[in-house]
Amino acid sequence: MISWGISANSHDAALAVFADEKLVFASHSERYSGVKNDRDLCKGIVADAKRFGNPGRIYWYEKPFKKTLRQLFAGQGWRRRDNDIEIYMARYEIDAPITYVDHHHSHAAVGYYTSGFDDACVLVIDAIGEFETMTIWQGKGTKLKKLWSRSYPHSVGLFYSAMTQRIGLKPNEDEYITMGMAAYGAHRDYLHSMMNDFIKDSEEFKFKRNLHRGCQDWRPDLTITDSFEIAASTQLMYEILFRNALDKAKSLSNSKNLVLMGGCALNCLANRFTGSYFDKTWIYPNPGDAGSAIGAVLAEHPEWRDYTDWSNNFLGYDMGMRTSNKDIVTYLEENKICGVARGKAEFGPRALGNRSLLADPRGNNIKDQVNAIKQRQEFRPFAPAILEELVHDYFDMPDGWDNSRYMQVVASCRYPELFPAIVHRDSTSRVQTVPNDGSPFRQLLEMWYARTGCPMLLNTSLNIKGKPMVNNHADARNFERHYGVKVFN
Amino acid sequence: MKKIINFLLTPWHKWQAKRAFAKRLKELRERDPFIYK
Repeated sequence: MISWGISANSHDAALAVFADEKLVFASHSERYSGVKNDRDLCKGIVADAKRFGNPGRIYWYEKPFKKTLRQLFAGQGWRRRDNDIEIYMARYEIDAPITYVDHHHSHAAVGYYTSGFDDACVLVIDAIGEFETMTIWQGKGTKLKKLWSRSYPHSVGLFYSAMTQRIGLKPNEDEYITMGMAAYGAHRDYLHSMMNDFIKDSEEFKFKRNLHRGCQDWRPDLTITDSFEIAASTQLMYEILFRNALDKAKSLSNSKNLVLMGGCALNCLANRFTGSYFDKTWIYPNPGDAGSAIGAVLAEHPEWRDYTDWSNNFLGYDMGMRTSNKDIVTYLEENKICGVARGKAEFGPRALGNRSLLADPRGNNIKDQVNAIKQRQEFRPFAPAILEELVHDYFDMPDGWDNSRYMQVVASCRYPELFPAIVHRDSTSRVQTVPNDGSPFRQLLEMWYARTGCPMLLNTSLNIKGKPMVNNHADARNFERHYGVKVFN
Repeated sequence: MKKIINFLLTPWHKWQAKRAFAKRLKELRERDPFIYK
């Protein structure tokens, strides 16, 4: 039987397909519609999913009635019809029985059941589920048990989003820019003010005001020039709350393994602290709401975890492979920059080698050259992809992190002067370690190392500014035409 | 006479009120101040 897991009708819609017990496809709707963080499914993704057959059952990542109640409680009106998933699915001519799973249960399930742990503490932090904003679970065998939760309006995720909006960025989307800006500010300037104005109890994660409507009125004396300071204070405030959350998780669970999930798990700067509390950490490569498309299915069928290989995250549209690694490396040596779009697309926010813009990380002007293509803010660095066994020669990995295969944590670079393009102002990099798994990207990196003696490449997502990542051949051709950069398939 | 005209126009008034309410609701939704929908 074909089962679909869906996360949609909120932000960053995604769809996962299980054929019998095995996961065969998962992708973001944005890759097909061309609308970044698309909130709805689109015809393209539904058609691609239907290649495997029509769904016999749909697993929805949250409980719509509870969400409607929360929206009413929040003052957003009675949105029962907006949250009617049968009507929603009828738009795409899908008529199948629907099973609803709690929002945080979906998060916890995809994290725990893909972790490979048989015993773990699961910490979920996001903006809002139906009501819950932070939960702690105990995973044992195939069972997940909720130990603790904090509910709306107290939300660490909403605090971060509200601050993102306060500094003029888009909430629910640009939080990663806030994190990048943090390295440029002096931490303590506004931390005290934030503590006083927002935090009621930092150990119980209670806030003095509801930040669901943002905090645009907070400190009107601060202008756009103070943005970096606000970002730095916000990041530090988040790290304080995050460490308290880790403390709480540790006190409630006797497990040595941590599974971290929810949108806040994308904060790779704060993630470096997990090793101080737990021996091992697992974060699913797509820890936000999109990943819950898989979680909704696994929450109902934990035993299905054994039928899928979770060692990589290439689950999307398959573009096939035409060019040899030798041609790509030769081109890179001569031209320094090229795109790679081949194989199955990554299911997650990071390009991990199948939809990547690659460049030689050495030299002072490579960052400007890549930025001329990507047109990102100048203060944001790019990420390196390095052979996993050599990561410790070039980076000091944080405690408890031997590798970072999905760019989930920052590490200090030992030679920032040699690789300025991939190092942030604080000498850290959001490093991707590429394991020896025989994948095409691993082989490419090995060949690059053999030819140049440099074991890493600059790796950033292959997308036109303001658009989602390249998904198919047409997108790749568009990218080539738009920027005049060669994209290899 | 006025009463008769008003009586005859009742469905029209009702429809107008309904339309105004829908328009207002749409405006409110578009100006939704909530960060997380």
